[in-house]
Amino acid sequence: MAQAELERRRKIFLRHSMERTAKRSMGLFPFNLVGNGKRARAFWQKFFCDFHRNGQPAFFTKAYAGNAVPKSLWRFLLFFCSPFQALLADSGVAELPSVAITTFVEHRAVDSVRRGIEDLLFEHGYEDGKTVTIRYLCAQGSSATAAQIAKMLAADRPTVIVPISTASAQAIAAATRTVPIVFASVTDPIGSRIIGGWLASGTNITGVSDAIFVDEQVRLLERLIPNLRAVGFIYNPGETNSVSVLRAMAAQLGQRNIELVAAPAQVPADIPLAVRSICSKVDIIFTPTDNTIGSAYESLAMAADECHIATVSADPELVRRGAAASLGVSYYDLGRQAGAMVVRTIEGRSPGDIPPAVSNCTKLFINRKAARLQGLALPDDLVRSADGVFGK
Amino acid sequence: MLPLMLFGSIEVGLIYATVALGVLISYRLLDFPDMTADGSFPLGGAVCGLFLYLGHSPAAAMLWGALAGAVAGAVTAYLCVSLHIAKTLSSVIVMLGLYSVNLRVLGLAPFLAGETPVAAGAPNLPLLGVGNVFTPFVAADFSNQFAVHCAFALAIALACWLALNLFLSTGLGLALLASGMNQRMASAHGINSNAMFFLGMALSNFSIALGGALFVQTQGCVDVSIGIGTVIAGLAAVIIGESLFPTRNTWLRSAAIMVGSVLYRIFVGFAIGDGPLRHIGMGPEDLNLITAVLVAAALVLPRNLRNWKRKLLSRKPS
Repeated sequence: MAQAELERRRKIFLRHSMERTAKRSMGLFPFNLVGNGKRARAFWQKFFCDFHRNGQPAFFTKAYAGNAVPKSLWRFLLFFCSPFQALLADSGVAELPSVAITTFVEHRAVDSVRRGIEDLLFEHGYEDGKTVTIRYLCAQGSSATAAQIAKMLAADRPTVIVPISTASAQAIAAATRTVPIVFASVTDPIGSRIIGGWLASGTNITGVSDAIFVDEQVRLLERLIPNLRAVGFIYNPGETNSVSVLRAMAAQLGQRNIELVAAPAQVPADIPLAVRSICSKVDIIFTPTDNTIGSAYESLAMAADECHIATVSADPELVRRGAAASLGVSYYDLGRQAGAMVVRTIEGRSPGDIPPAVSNCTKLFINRKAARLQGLALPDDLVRSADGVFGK
Repeated sequence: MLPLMLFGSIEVGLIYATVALGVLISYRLLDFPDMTADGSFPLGGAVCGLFLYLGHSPAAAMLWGALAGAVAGAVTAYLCVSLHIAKTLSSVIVMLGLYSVNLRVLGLAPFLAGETPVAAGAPNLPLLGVGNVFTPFVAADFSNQFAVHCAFALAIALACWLALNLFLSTGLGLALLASGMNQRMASAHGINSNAMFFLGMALSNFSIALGGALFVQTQGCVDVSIGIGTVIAGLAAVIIGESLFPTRNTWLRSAAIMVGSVLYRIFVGFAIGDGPLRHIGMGPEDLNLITAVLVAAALVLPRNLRNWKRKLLSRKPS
């Protein structure tokens, strides 16, 4: 067996044994902290000191030669530390490599990315709670909380931080220059100044972008509507990802003399209005991977069915929910791609040596029922080449 | 490890302390339910970000950001006082309009810097690698960043607190307080309560936008979504501060709400780093619930403790 493999297994074994000790001292959690018992001492030793060296908290060894610690001191510590146990407990298991996944708001694409990362880690022998600690922190839509998460992670120094989406990645990048960062699903990492270019950055940052290749999208639109004159674009102007796709799309369509009609929808309730406002002017409606649109895609599909206008989405998941066709990034595979970078980082490579990448896995999905309702004739060869076909 | 992580919460709490002071002025001193904060906080950030992006000095950028917020507050006051639109409604209108203004301002930065040919709106302005007010003090590897951020946030919060209280001690400040408490009585004493109202709203949003300007510099970007929940965060701070340290003294009251703001962030930090809570099956999705329970406890416990104490004392003689 290769030397490296042996070394890796030895490390995993060490982590296991450390973790067992940590678990034992967690014991009957809140009750073991009271008094001067063996368990209580084990618990505080775990937190206060280095247990790698001699199993004795250095701070006590000096003062009390490792022997009986006065009851009053334990009580004092208990009193002052109890409000912060929550924070301490996270750092308590820091002996395992830890991966912190953080995001601004929860939705389906984020979940898929996270599943992808976790699955890939598992396949490489990193099981949550056994050989690696995976933490997931979501700011639940509050940017102040997102800022706090970024700063707490920078202080906690996990092995890798995985921010999902642009604003999270920017906040984390602003908070630390030393903790490795592997971002996932940032559409325009260069425009948002997270990285300087597509070469290995030499800093602490790498990751996977979910940029969609706009020329591929336009080619798909042209195949669906042979004499394409105008494309409708429905998006939330408050989302960076959508705006960067809009810019690229406008440039691409401009070259081919196709008109682009953009209709903003800031809240899901505006989506049907946006569809009706442009449906007589355009041949087909395209939507980017937009959280607002994605959260209420059914309303867009219903309005499009009424107006008999075809819909194409850059998010493959939306084909199930009423889009006629979609050529887009598979977020689960994007998560796996980011997961591979996370594994390399855990195994000791610096993110600065790993070049950032664009998701390499685009898939074509088609919904025949939606296409019929929206009056779209699907070319047979396109249906045959699709990765998934729904409806009849 | 522990103090470092607490620093993050304290820093955000101190930044939001300036917001809480602004909310104190509008909600408590002027008795005006002001929703403008949700728009003026990101406006302050956006204008500050715009100036930083163009390479102006950070201090000037922050001042312009705060002044933009003051203008937004004055517009709310104008809608309410001169155009007679209902209080809450006028502030909601301004908040709504500011969303688009913020998109425009954020889009303006790359245009003025000559990076894009058209001045289209943008939801996000990256500030990574752009010099900010902390840059001269932060080490190259960001190792002392938390301390610098905290110290700055503390200095600015204290300066706001001092300035606000010194102002409220002057004749003009007392007139503002009076017209907030009883407008008719103030007018009867020859105070121009409408002017006071303009002034109060401008001051309130100046302070909130200053918080926004500081916040974006710690964030590495200005995002149009940073305004969501500003009023709620400010109000939470005001209510926690007032219920934990009830006092009528303006100096102490405003200090108490700043402490309230920091405490609120510590509660949130507690909910984020919920190690033991994970053992009983709480997950990241319960963050807001945990925060809500902690805030509710902070509001209810002090009062009840006092009641319990009273009960105990009354039992003693018998």
